[in-house]
Amino acid sequence: MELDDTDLEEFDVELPLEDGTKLEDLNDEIEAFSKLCKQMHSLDLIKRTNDALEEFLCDEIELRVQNTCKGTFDKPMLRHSTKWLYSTLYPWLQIIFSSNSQLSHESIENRLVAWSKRLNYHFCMIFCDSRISELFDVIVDFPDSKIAIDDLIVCMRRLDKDYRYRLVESLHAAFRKRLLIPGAGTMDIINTYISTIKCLRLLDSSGVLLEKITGPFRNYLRTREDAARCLVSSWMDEKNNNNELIEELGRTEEPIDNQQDVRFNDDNWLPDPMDAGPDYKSSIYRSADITNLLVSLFDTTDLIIKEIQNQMASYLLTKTDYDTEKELTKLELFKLRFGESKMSTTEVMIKDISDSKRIDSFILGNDNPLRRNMSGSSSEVMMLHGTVISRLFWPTLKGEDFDVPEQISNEMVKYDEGFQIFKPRRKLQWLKSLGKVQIELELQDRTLEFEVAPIYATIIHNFQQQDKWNLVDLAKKIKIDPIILKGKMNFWSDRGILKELPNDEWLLLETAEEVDPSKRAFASNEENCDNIIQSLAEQKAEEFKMYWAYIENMLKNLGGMTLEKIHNILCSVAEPTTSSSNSSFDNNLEDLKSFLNQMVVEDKLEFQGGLYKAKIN
Amino acid sequence: MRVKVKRWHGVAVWRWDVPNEEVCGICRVPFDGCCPTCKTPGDDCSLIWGECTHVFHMHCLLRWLQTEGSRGQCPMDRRTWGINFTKLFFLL
Repeated sequence: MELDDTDLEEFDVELPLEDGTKLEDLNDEIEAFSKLCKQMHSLDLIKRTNDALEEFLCDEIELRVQNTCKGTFDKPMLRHSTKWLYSTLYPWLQIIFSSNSQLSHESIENRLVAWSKRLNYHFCMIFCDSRISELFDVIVDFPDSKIAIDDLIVCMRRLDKDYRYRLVESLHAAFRKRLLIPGAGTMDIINTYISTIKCLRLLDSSGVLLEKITGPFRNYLRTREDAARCLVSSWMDEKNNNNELIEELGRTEEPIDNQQDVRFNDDNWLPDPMDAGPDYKSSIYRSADITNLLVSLFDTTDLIIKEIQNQMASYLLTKTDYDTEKELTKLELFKLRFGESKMSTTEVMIKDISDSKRIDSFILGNDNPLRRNMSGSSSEVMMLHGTVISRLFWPTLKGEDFDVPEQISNEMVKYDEGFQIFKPRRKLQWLKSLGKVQIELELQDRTLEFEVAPIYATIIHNFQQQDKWNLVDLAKKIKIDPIILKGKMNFWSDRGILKELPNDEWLLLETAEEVDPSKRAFASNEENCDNIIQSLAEQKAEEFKMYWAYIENMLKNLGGMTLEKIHNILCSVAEPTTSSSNSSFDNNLEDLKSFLNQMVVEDKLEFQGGLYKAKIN
Repeated sequence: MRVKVKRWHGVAVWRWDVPNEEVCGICRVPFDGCCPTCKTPGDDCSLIWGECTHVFHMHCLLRWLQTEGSRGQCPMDRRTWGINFTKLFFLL
């Protein structure tokens, strides 16, 4: 038995010889080893080393997988390793077997095949385990790691079904630990989800694995309020970073709501796979359509449609060139996905912009009779261009009213007159805080150009007549709340045009002053923070406000009630609103709860022992 | 300082020249929206003014007049429906 050990020790030293060893050395080694084997055979020891040999070879394979395959996803490691098995590992085996001179060539070959089969299978298992344990990284690297997935597919095919469950479980654990945590950004989660879909779609065409993986994702993403917003913004992304997602959007035959689970005239119909869970909806998971899977995260498509409308509105309102080509293509894709009727509001919004182009060119052009008369007397050029929108088809637009410079308000009146000729019996109402103004400031030492929101242009315009304003006076002049105005003044002081003096006075800086660079950096994007469109949460709160008086009276008259009871009563009495842009009373329990809780926070309700009670004053 | 406004791009909403917050007496949709069969408001779904000063979505009224029960009357006051041509004139 002692010999066994020494033999294996020697073996251990020899085997890792690979590239880098000189050929002569290797030949010497082989010769020495083959001599050793022959001697062992003559002592009848070879047979007794079989177990140890197998164990050693398995260890060697594990080491190989551990050292070379792990973490390498962009090279065909399966092929490399197979090559290694056949060119390095098995030749040594052959030397051992051929030490028995009594064996025929054929039986050596047979033994070798039997061993290599066993070892190949073992390699497969080890390799598969290793890949499964690092599948999360593979998914994150996708599509650069596609080769790793291909390798895994080959391995999984050879192994039994057990590995599928192991894969699911290991992936679940990885997601729970590394992705579905508060620290991960929603966009990152969505992107990883997309990669996961793509990887698993390659791994398992039936989609069962996908369905099992999707569960935690769905549940987690639902807790993220900005999930819909992130999803839609990646569709709307102008820079097309997510080109693929947009491409995926168009890849469908039927709108989501029309898809049935079973199609009776489908000749290629297959029953659901054996290991499919109860949640498995074959049509979705089998096709593994990324957009469908993403959209199905949400209970209804309404949330997404609303988000599309909101984001589309902000895109369209920042346009000054009336070019809607990109938006139209997006619209067509959305229509394919969500059905034409659901996108009709968005369609009107885009049409408003292209109509605005015609209206604008009529009002400013020579066909406008008002303008023809005018041009004789004064050759002034209209500075004002307009976007005319249909109010009921746009999301609620925020914005305070104020007085724009006189020149512009005059033009607004003229614009309205021109509009009434072009579209009789209709009139315009300007939303003064929306839009964009290009201005040029000529100061003593510098000339600066800006593209700003109307309020900023109005503020700076007023500094033309006098270079020092008191905040309250200026607020009175442009008819705006001083508190709001103060925030807006910072826009110009951050850009080194105005300077704040004590007592709420603001001074125009005709000559530039040194500005603290840290302040400047802080200022850069402030304007973009002004969100012109009410967020979904605000819209919902607005919807509930309609019912607030009713809820309050009900609680006063009938005493405290549980959340469910309030919801039931509201459902039975609330009449669906009829206006075309607002949906009917579809407010669910969760929304009602958050609204009521908000009311509790605002000290308008009391919440005691599960009952909401009216405050008694 | 001189401020030169190069271009002022404003945003405006249009409204029909009817009293605020009124809805069509037939479909109960605001005038600025469109009748239930239309998808785009404004040019594609205009209003009609009657001699009796009542206003409706044109499509709504025409459909009403086609029903037998209407007997050619205004649905609001049951007077014989007549188009207020001074207002329609602009529409043509």
